[in-house]
Amino acid sequence: MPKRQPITRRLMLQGLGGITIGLPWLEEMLPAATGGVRPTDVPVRAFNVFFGLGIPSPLQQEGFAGVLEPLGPLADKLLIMRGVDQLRADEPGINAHYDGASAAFTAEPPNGTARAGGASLDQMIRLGAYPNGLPTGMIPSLVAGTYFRRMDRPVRYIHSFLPDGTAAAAMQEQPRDLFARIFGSLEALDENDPRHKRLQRSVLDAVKEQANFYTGPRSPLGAQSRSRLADHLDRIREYEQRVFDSENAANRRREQPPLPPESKLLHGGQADPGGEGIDISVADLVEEWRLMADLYALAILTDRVRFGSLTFLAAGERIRLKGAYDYDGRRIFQFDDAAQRNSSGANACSHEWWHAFSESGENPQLRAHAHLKMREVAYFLSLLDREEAREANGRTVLENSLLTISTESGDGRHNDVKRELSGVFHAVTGANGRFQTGQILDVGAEGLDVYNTILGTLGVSERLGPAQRPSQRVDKIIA
Amino acid sequence: MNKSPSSRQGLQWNESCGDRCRRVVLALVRFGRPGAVFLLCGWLVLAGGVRFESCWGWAAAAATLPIGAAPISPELAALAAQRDEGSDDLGRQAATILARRCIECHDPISRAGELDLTRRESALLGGDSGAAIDLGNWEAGQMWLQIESGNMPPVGYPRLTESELATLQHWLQGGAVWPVDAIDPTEFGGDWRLAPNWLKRLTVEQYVRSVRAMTGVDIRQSAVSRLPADARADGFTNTAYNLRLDLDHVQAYAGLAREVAQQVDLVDLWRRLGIDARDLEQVDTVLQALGQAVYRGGLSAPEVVALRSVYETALGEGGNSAAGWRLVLQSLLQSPRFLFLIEAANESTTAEPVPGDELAVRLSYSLWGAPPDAELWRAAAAGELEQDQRLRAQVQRMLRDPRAQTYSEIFAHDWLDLERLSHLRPNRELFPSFNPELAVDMQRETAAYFQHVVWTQHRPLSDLFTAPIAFLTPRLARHYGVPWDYAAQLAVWRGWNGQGDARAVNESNHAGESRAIDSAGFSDRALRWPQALYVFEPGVAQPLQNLGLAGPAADLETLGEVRLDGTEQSWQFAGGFLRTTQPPGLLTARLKQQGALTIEVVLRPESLEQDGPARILTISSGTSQRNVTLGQSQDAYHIRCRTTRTNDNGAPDLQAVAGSAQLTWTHLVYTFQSNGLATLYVNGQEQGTRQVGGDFSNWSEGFHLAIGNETSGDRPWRGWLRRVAIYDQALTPADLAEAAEVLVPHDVSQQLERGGLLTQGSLLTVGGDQASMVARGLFVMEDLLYGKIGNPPPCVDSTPKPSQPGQSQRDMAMVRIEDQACRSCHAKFEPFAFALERYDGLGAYSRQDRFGNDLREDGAVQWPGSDEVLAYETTRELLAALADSDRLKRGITRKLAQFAIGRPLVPADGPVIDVIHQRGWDNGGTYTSLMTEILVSDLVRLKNP
Repeated sequence: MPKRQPITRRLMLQGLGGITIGLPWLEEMLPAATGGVRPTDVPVRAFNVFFGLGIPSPLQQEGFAGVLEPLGPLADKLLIMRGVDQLRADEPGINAHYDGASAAFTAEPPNGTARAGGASLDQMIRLGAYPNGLPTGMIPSLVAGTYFRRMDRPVRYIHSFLPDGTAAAAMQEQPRDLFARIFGSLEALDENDPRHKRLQRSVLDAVKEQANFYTGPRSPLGAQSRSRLADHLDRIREYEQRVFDSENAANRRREQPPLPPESKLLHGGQADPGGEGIDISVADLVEEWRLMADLYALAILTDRVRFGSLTFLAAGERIRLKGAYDYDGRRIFQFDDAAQRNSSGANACSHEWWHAFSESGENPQLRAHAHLKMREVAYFLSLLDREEAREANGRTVLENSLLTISTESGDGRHNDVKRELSGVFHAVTGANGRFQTGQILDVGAEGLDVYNTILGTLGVSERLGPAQRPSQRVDKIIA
Repeated sequence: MNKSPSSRQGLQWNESCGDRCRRVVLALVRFGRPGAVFLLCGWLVLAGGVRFESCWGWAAAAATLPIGAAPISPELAALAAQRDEGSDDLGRQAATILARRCIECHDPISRAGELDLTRRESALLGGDSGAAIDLGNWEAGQMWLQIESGNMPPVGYPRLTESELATLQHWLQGGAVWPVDAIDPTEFGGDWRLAPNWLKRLTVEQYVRSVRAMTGVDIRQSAVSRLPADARADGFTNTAYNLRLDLDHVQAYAGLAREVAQQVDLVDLWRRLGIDARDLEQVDTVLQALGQAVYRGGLSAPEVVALRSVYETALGEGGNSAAGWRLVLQSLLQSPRFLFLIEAANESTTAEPVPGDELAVRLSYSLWGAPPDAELWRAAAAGELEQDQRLRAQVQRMLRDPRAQTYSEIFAHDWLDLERLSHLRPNRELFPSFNPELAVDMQRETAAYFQHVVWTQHRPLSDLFTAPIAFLTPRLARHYGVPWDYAAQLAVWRGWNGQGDARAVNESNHAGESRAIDSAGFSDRALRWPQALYVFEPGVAQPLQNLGLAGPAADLETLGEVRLDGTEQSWQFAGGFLRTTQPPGLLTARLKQQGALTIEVVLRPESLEQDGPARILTISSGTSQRNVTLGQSQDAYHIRCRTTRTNDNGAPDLQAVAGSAQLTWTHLVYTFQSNGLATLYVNGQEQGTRQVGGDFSNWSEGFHLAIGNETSGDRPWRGWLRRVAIYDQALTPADLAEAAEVLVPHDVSQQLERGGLLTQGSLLTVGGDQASMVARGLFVMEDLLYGKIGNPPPCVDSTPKPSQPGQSQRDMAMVRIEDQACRSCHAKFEPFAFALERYDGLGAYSRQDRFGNDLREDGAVQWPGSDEVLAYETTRELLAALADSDRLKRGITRKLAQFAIGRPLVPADGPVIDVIHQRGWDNGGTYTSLMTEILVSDLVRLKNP
């Protein structure tokens, strides 16, 4: 485990981050600067945190003594839910990795290869809390993560969906992309060339005017088309702010921030060579995870984003991990998937440890992989729980926000759909005192009921799932 | 997303209410009151807690029924009539439940309990437990007994809901009428709502084509690098629901718009738009013309005002008129009306005809990926697109346009997922010789094959699975084990290029077959052939024949010891050399004429001590008179090339850097451009350059060509050669890499292991490194035969397993097929892969695998939903059966329809697809005939509510 210091907002401002990125204009991104909230308000925020391949139900029973150990230090801030059932998401003919991934945060089976069955929790809450849109300049939804397996099924790694089941935003899969999406890579127009700036302004004004018309009350378009163009208009406005904001531009010119380092990992199609999996070192993977976590957390702490998702490996991920994994001063495991599986290609990937899970066995490799992911999830959560994340009500951003953590499966074996999609690990934060925390609960409920209970508790009137199904409120999770 | 339960208190709902409601709905529709249907449904949903989907399904179905004099096509009328029959909706609902819940196990192949529920007669016949349906006493039938008791679906599968049970009960009570002859889970597996109209953003390809059509600017390179790639969704990159737009797009569009505005030739643009230069002062008129072109429709008054403001801003900032128009163009190219194919909402409750201008856009983007041309706009304005025959004529005109052909490449690329090959990285231990270029060759092979079968030969699309021709590069031919005969390929190449043959065509065994290949449809952009080409391979006879265009005068005889080295797959020069028997006059003349040259050699030196320079290749008369000589001086390569600016010996020399020569296989290239610039490349890297100047007009046509020594025999070079080529143009190493791997058609009618898409590496690689029969079989079943396969059953780990001694992939497949728990699915699709067993993970053919297991090609399959068993002995037999099957043809129809309309098909499309399919295949089943039927069908002509 490389020693490194997480990037805090303060460190970022001082240019002292463990990685050499610095954002001199970050002060202008303070909550007040967005106009979104008063200093004493706590904004509504909801994020989905997904990790691939899951934690088999029997291992969840071990509590913090097992693979959940890294979440232990945050136990008081989390409600861990066992026995959450996503069986209704089973879609005959589709791999259960995909069903389970789609069910996470939506409780619905997928609808097409690139579409979830409905909205995700974060988006339902966004639409409920901000029906007229988020404050200007804020990123409507931030979707990011580290993943390799992709096929044609984005639902395996994207975990923030609009009500029509399409992705809430483009996926940012590299630290530099995420950095650019949050803080901007767009070159502001040169203040010393006001003529050029005026010309470009006139161009954008005409574009905006047309977009306004097509999203406005006199639009001849249907609701779905209007919604998609409204999304486009949001992006145009964001572009406008980044390109034409002369104040920020001056700051940026004064001191251009360095970018995060180039990713050492494979991305795009190269990361999924025909489903055969890729070799990857623990050090490189963890470095990437932490960069992504740092950047995402920073976006939250600077109130650039209030909704979205962060992914720690895709559903059914295929990697061959190698390297030592230490935690809390002790060696947890020496990863070498290919050698330990005595195989190559897909058959040598860590994925196979899940298929080979045995309730009576030790499952050392599966445990180590799951433990490592929990450590990284905990790292991300802890970034939102530091002193500088404390808000006006005395609670931290982690405590005030709804972070829902889940995965694809409650059992790695593809041999029983019911078992595979039952007991899917879930955890939530308190959402400003609304949910029980500091507990591990055997919920014994459908994911859909858990999610709808969450929505109801947060004051969202709409519900997920089919209307004819009577909703079963899961009272035990409510504070 | 629906209202919370608290909003749905009120009337109690049950299925008999549903039945009555359905009758009311249909009656209202029959009497032309579709609006009342929606009011009724809406009221029921809000007040009565009625299942929304249920009402919506009826309302949506009702919405498609003909109302009054609305111009609905015959296909839709047929659909309406079909749906207007009293029991049909209930039948469809029941069929949908059976398809989702029962047929996975109770179909003609799986026959769990010997029961097949896809057909009424087989259900009445029943299985091990007796008749599934008892028409005399519905409660006594096994189907009801099993589902009502909860025995079915079996443990591990979700129980039927109360609503599903109620539907099946009503259906059984009503006589259990099957809505179709056989229930196909693919067609009945979804719901029956009409597909929504997703707003379509231009794909990257459509963006490029649109910009080019409107402005003449080719922005492809920038667009591909700046715009996020369009991801494949439900099999295609143009799937509308997935064409979202994010900040990256906005940024890219802005940059691209600036590029286009800078590059556009305004004079040409005005000519395209039919604007006279004298009219440019009529700003609003020009804006309208520009808007029509870019927005694919007229401008509204506010849009004119906004764009005029842009124009005036440019003038106000000191710009001239041209600057103003360029700025306007920037704005247009970033506007929603350009970036999205915007259509007005259909506010009615029925599917409405698409207006002519919108239909023109649908047609052109379906066929060309580009905006309508003037003729299509004219036809739209004249109302011709509303008339069947005129619409058909327009579509057929458009299909003759080359844009239809080039856009069809996108269909093939997406359908067959050829992009997958860009990322192919098989296990190095299993496939040590694989390199990414081989995967590119596979992509090229399939693309060229598709173009040939579809557009050159205009064959039915089902022939894509049987046409006995393969488009191979030398590299791919080696990989496939197909003999590569350069002489034959030269004959073919000459045929394409309309060149007289310097060598008798009948020298080649394959020449006759090659001549049969029509050249018109082949468009390998990298096609180049050298003037002199020598390939030093095993089996090549001596004297060594020139396979280049300069003909037999450049054939080489052997002098001294030159021998084949089988280990190195090359010829070893150990003191002897090769020399022309006569001066290669034609070669020298062509080089003189062009004033440019490329010499390409693939070699491995034996030593780094040889000097002189040691002659690798020369056209000269001895050690001091030459046209050109390529040599080695210890650890550097060396060139002397005579021009009008050098002496007779070609000095001053060009020498690559020290260390450029190494004792490894090397790709060595020398180029001389007509501007006098000489360059040496070693393994693609520039290792020396010199501005020599002059030309070749002083070259002698009396000099011999020699390889491995000076023509006089006193400057020997020792080492190995694989290839020597001389071109009469200056090519880059990248050009050469393509030229060396020229794609050439091979007649494979006698090579039984090749011929047809499923024998091509591009598709065979879907099986992964282990040549998985599961993956290959699923590809055939799902992507070709639109079959539906259930989840992996108990006790199965879905990761492909390698073969092992005594157990081939087929043996493993048989274990799955014979396993009671697995066979319900695996028996359906794996036998299709049996015919491909002899192709390894990368598509190479062999009769034994690496463990010595014998591999076979026979098997027996059943088409989805059919109880007929088709046994086949050979791969070709299965491919022929596939090509002949209606199931495959229907699969092709469906894929093409999906591509044309940019969305996955839904069950409600089924009746229209049936009509398209029947007519399209009756008319030949070609791309043209099928696309015509799709574009004149209601899939394109009607707009859903």
